[in-house]
Amino acid sequence: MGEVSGLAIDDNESMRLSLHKVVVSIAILGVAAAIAGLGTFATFTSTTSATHTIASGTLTLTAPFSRLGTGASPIAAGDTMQRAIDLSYSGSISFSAVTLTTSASPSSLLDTDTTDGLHIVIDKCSVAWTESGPPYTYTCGGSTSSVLASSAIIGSNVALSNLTLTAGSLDHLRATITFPSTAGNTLQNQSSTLTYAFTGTQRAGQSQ
Amino acid sequence: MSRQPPDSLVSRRALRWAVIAGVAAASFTTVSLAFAGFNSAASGGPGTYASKRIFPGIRTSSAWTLRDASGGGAETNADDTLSYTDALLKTTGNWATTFSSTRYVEFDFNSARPGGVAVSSATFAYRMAANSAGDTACFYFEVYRASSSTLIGTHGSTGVPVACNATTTQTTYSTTLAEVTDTTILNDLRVRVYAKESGSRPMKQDLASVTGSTAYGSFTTYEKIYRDQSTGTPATTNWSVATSGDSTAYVSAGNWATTFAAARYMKFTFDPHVPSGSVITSASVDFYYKNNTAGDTVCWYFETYNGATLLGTHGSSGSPVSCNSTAGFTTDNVTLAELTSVTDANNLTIKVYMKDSTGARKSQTDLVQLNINHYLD
Repeated sequence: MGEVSGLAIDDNESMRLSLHKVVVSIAILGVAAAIAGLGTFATFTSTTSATHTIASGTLTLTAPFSRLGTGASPIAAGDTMQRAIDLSYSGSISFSAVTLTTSASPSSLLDTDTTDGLHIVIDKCSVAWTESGPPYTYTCGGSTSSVLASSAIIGSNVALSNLTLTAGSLDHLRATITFPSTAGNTLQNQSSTLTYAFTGTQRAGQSQ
Repeated sequence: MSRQPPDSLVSRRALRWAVIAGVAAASFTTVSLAFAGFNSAASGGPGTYASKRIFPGIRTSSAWTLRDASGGGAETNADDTLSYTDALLKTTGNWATTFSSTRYVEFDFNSARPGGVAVSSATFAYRMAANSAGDTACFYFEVYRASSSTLIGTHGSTGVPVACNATTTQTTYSTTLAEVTDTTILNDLRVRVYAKESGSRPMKQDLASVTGSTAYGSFTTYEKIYRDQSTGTPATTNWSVATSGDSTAYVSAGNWATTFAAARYMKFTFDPHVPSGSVITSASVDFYYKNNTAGDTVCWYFETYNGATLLGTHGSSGSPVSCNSTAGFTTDNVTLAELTSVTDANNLTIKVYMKDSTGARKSQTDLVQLNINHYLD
């Protein structure tokens, strides 16, 4: 608490007075700067300029060919289903990774039983798979590599390996969906509709 | 002179909100920067996968209907005593006048159904009467999983029996088994009947079976093992041709001749309950037999029928399926290539012709079993 002219005032009053001083000071400085600036532009000027364009690229993942929309019914324990899908990296920017998220709607024990329900394996062929069927089966005329080891059919953001990922390239994938031979009678008369989402992310930033 | 405190230039509430807003803005900016970057997605599917309604598998069914004309005369009804409402009765030992936890009869049922199929309206049918006029027989029962002896249901009690019969007239008492919810339980079912008899005498039983339905039709399940502990001391009687190696074999009612004859046979009828629409991929019959008198040689061949329609012949009078002169049972398994129709399978009768080297001798049959591998899409 302060003391002015014999009257007691509190700290807020002091703060108000100080702020008034600050505001007035800034106003004075602003006006002075403006006048100075006017004085500056009142002299001769000369300008040089350069322009350049910076354009962002595109990152585009598509599936120009896919058999993943082909289901199977009725399946029994021990059955396997092969489905091919091509992933195209058709934008101008390469990818750093692609993940797979699978979902089921409607759902059943075929996708919720992670032991005896459906499992998926994904392989890549260096050239296009040779398809026969239906029922579809595929052979690879080039070399194969593993993209996803055996996993329960439902997964979220599952990392995929050995993909090309380069802008303008194509990966030829084959998904093998297995209904384990260990599946018991509780998995009879079940039905699941599966959707597969492949999500690619761009390469890391770099000097350009 | 006092003065009112002046209003704050910036209220504390406003300051707090300002701080919160600042922190939120900073966080949003940081997180946005962290997740920034291009991404793209491609999708596959949807694809629908549906499993078979019934998986492929071999289901076995014994014959509960047996008509015996081995002697060359009229057929003898040699059906399983407890599987049908007929004149064949099974008499228990002497009961006590009060219920006792150690006095009961027990039935294990066959397991011919594909497992994992929902069951509705499972019902235990028990047909019985008191042994003597003026007596009253009462019962209640428990339901178990046979494989684990786990109690899964109780119906009635010592104080409130399921039923009492004060006559000697056979009466069927039907009780719903809500605990039998699927065929996995049905295939592993045991019913234990506790009873009392007012005169401490036996009870006469005609039928102990379980009926119900699935999405694929109605069914009847028959007992294959009967344990009588009405006196407090157990005695087990298996349906003779339902289980092999159980020291319970069916002895033919009459004597076979030294040669095969059209009028000398045994007929076994099965009840496999193959669901309509099923695909039968294979079928066979197990027939285990031997002589009833040491040193004799017994031979057999058989025909398959749907009603009066001949489906196939296996072996012949000149070339039997096999012969057995040993003291042990011959275990024949004969493929039934003709059994491709569900209707034929569900109405299958096999007619077995036999002969004995000495003649005027009987045979023993340990097992008559139908094996059908089928599935339903």
